Amino acid sequence: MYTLLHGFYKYIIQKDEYCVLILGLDNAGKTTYLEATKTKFTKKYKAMNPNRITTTVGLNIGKIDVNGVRLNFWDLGGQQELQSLWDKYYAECHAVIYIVDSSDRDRVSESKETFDRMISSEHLAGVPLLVLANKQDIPDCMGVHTVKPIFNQNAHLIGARDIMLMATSALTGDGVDEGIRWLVDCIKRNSVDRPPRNHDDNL
Amino acid sequence: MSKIKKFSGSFRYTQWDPCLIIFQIVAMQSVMYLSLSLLVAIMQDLTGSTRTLDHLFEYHELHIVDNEGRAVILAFVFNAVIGAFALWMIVGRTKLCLDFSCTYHGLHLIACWYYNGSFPTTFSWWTLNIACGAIMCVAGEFLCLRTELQAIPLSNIGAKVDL
Repeated sequence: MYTLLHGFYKYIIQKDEYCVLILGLDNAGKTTYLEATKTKFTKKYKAMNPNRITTTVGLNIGKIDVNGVRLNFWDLGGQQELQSLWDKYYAECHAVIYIVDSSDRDRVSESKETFDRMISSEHLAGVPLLVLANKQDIPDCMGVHTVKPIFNQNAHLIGARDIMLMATSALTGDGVDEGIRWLVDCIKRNSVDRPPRNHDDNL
Repeated sequence: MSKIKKFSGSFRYTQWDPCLIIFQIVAMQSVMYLSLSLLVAIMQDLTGSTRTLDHLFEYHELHIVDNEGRAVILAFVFNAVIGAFALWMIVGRTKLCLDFSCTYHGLHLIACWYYNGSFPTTFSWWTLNIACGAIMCVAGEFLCLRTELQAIPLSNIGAKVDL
């Protein structure tokens, strides 16, 4: 009887779980963005001091509940050598957040190449994409209007999937909220093609 | 059902399965009342008392002043041991023995409540049922644990091995 009721309770409160990849070149602010997201959507979460965030080796994981769904973030390391690991995660993710360092004009073309390589993967077909022009708190950064044309060039690669480019500052938390809410709506719309991953409930 | 699974070499589906649990509860209740009725009937024949449903549900039938009451108590205790085997056959999970044992006794409480029209307040009824529940649970856990701790045979099991 307890198992029956407990299982029923679990069944009632269970949320759809989706996985979101956070990608981008190294030093784009992926981990800082993840921290900002966790701070925004988790009550009583104390953010890590941004000065102490260093190069990600492997991956960072974050979990938030928003609009009745649970998002699992996989923040992967962006170093050149670690980029070869990205495609191992493509098949299981439900959305991708791609972060661009909009203060680094020298590497924006490299970022664009990496972005094209990522979206041309067949495992990511139809997955909603959120491109973030990060570091908007730096005075002489590129605005959305500069970054957008660069990433919009290959429309044939983007295809029919949902894509949005937004200006954010992971450090101050600007634009984090809107981005995540947009992404959740897209993921829900796309859940017919990519159904949520739900945990098995072990007795 | 668990036997089929045992031979196919895969663990039982561990997700929440309300149908399975409900039918296990129904099966436990039926088996327990059937065996209790048979035991009480045998005891009644041995003590030469009349066969009546009161012996199963009536609070005041549980006493140690004469052989009739003692026989009924003995039947309940034996039934708890049979219940342990029923748990082993029907449930087969160590972790669920306490749950199913409490469920059986809880439903028995409701049945008694309905039969007598009043909540049980006699010391003998509560003592007997708690003791029987404990026996059933512990013995059932012991039996299920023995099965669960058996080595998994790796030879001639076919391709369907799930380690």
